[in-house]
Amino acid sequence: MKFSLCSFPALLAGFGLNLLSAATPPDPVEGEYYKIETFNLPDDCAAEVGSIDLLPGNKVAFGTRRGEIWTVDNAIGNDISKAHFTKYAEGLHEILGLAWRDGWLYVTQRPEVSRLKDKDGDGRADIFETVNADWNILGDYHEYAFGSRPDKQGNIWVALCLTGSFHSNAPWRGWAVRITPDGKMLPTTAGLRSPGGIGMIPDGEMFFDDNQGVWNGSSSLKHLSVGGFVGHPDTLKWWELTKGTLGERPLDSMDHTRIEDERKRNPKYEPPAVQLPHGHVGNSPTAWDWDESGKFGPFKKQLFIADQSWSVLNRIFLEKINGVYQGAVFPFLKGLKSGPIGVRMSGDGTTLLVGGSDRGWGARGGSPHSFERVTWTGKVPFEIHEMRAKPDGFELTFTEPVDVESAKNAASYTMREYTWEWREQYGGPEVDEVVPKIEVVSVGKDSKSIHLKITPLTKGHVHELNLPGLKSKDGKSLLHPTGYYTLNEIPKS
Amino acid sequence: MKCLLCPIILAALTGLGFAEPPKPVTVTIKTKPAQMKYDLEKISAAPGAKVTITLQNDDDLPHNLVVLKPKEGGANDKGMDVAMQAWNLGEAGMKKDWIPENPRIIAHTKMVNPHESETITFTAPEEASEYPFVCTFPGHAMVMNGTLHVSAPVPPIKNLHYRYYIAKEKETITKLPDLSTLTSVEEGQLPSGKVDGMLHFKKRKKDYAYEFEGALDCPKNGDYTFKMGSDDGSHLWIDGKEVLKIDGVHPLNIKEKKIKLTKGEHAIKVHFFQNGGEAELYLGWSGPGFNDVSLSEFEPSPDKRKSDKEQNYGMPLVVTDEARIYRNFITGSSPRGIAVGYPGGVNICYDADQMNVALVWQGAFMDAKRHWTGRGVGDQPPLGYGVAKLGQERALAVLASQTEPWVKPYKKDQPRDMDYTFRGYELDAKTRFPTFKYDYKGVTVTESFEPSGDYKKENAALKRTVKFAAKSAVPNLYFMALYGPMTEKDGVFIFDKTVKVTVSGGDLIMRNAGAVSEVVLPVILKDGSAQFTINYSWNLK
Repeated sequence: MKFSLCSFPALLAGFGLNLLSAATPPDPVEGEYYKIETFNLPDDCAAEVGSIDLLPGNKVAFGTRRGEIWTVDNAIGNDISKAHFTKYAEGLHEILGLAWRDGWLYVTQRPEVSRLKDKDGDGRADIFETVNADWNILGDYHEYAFGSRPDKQGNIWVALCLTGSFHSNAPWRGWAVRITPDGKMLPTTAGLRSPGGIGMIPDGEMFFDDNQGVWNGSSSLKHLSVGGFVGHPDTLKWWELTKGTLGERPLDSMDHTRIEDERKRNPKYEPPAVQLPHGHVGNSPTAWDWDESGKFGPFKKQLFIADQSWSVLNRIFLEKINGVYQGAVFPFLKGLKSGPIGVRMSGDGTTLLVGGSDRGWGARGGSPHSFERVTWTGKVPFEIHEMRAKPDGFELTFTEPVDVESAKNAASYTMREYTWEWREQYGGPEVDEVVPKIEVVSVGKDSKSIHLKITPLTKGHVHELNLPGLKSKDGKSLLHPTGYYTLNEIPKS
Repeated sequence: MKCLLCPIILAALTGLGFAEPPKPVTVTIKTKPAQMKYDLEKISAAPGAKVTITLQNDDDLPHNLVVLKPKEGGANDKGMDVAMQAWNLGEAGMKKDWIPENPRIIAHTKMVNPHESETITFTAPEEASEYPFVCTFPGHAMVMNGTLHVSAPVPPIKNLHYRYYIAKEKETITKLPDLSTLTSVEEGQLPSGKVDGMLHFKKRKKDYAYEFEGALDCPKNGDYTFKMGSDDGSHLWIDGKEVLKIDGVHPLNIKEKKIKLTKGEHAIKVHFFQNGGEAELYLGWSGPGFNDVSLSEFEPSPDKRKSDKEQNYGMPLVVTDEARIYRNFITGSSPRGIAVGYPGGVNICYDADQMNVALVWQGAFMDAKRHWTGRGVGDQPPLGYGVAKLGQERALAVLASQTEPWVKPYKKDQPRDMDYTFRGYELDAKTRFPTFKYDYKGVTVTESFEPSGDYKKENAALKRTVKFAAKSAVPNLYFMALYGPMTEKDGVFIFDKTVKVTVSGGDLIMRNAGAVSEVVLPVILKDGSAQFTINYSWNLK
């Protein structure tokens, strides 16, 4: 079981306040800024949501682990009780990808990518056309297939979990493949272990998140590139089937080393863009989405990524340094009812739809399944807005002006730098801890940015920054005073 | 955790005649630091026994322990209802130590502060049942709970004797062995009265077997349910009659069976074998006045002690007036199984790896519980009966001659560079019956199914129509209509003594394929199309 409760006390700190006023979450502190509402479901709807997408006519569709697809009218808007659910399809096999395109609903289910159409307009799908079924399944429950929405070329990317989450016992277990618009499968990236979600980031590049386990000291967000390799060496046994289309075969991963060492040794290996430190921000990351409109608060183009076992959303700021993706993750919002797996931002940017199930692994939320929505109250929380790598440290920006006095005090900050052993064994402890010296170089003129000099910076390490002493201009503490930056590269300028 | 429990259970079991007062139970339950769990989640006591529990709080948060009667109806809700009631006390809860007014409460501690402890004493209820205990501090109950099992003391196996066998050198054991083929290396008595599949595990971790023999003392005449589970195989006999058999190499797999036994002693014999990896043997029994008492040293936690029946049945998919589809891992099909249940109790499983029908059956459709609870592990067999296992052969092949052996089935671990492509299915607007479609070497094949009759009237039947369409002819193309054990008389096939099959639309060729038979037809396209019809019916008269 991935479910672990080691940071439960942190969650309870929030509960304590909550208990004074109301009987149930959400936490009032986060709840001042973001509101979680739970949809009432029809009796026959087990919303074990595996994926969510938007349909024309302001409809929402979600697919479930039980293989059903439901469409929802009035999911976005003021009154959640007006939402209306219709079963669009059933009998599919563990749906973990939905994408609406050109009049078809594309469905990634365990055995295939299919596309569905309601030919006679009665609200139920009649055509279940197989787009591609070229990957193997051996009959193991862990052989999940997570499907993206189409990329710029119209390809749906499918992240294929290993058999039993340890081995690649058949092609293309542990690979990301692209399914082209004409139904061809292109094996694309090797080395995946156990994906929890796949999708793009605002620049159109494809990512997935891998769960803590073998060759994964922590869960992380990883970039998928054509011909790339993201770590699990058992997947490389199928490389020769790509017949040279992906270039040279990556080297097998070397046990008991470090990610940074592997990068030097194995040029085709691409390190995690953002580590999602296990036991710090979650245990089991899944899907994400983002807002570009500003209607979901001040975090435009940042990723809101769900964690199934903690029933939370985290927030990711990404940047590209020396050609490599990296960035920081921050806790964002807790108190979801079940274990979120599907996440989708509404077309107007106002509403983040979230749904999931706790089946098989457990989730803090406690409900076996749920479909919920998150909206911004309009009030800006005091948060770290961005955390950018600099040649000598980090530049932080904030959603509100900071109290300059506390900002200039180096005692307002603490930092730990660490990584995980790179190993075949499951998970692993944080190792090679460095506690650097922190100096405040400058506070921005608008009091909304701080430049910290960090000595030393350690390539390959997560830089966990805590700001317990920092106050906003009007005396507030940060809503979430910790950020975790994965420093793959140090900028040259 | 187990080491702490055993003395308690043993004390309760061995130290007692039935007339003596129940033996008191004293336990210390610790909270695990930063894990939101009790270190003991299962304690046992005899009815009416004095129970003393010390809650030692090693965590950094306050916790309590509240012992409860079962929820109305007897279900063990792990105290969730009472915990929710506590949560709903809101601010007032703090003053009440999060103890709500509730008649279910048998005993409770106060809120025990970090690194403090408190002891409570109460009398175990007279009624044998599972009594939950739980921390009612808001948010804890979900994981911080346990069960007090109250049951009458039942003695373990009397005069339990074991024999230990190991495989001959360079040999492995992969199924329940004939013990005469192995070497007996040790035997002796087990005074604990509990079978143990790991008695010699420290010395040898694979390829061994045990025989256990002894006597069970049944307190009353009545129904007794035996539960046995093993990793790998096990076999149970009572009075020389087989009760349960779990063969093969696999993770812990639990089965159960209810039998009638008379008061008094009955001979019990258990075989166990270990191939490699985990070695687990669990044996438990329930009977008049006692429930779920272990007869093995290994005891899975209560939630993992469920038999296949408890775990995997209970969510039947009901077929009403339209077809119902269930794609999943189905026993008898490759992993891309598509089960279809039709009105009238006629069912198929289409195999979208091989492009053929793997199963037809009548009666109930499928039970989804295996796949819709937990992680959904394993293959689920059809829920109905009259299951004809039509096999996992491919439907089409190009053969150089009529005697050339059929193509090998697609192997699920081999690259799928297949000469066919599955195209999915379309549902009829009214009946929702699917028509499957695939392509093979330029031929488009569609398969549709029409049920008739009703299994309740014993006249259920299924008509399968296979249509071929191609722009140009494919020479030497054959269709496999039937594969497996069958008899034939006047063009009517009785398949596996289960279904009656007729095939029309082409020239039938019957071939032998080792122990089984094949019925194949040449696919001869006229004006670019051809069509076969296969009828299946269950009334063999």
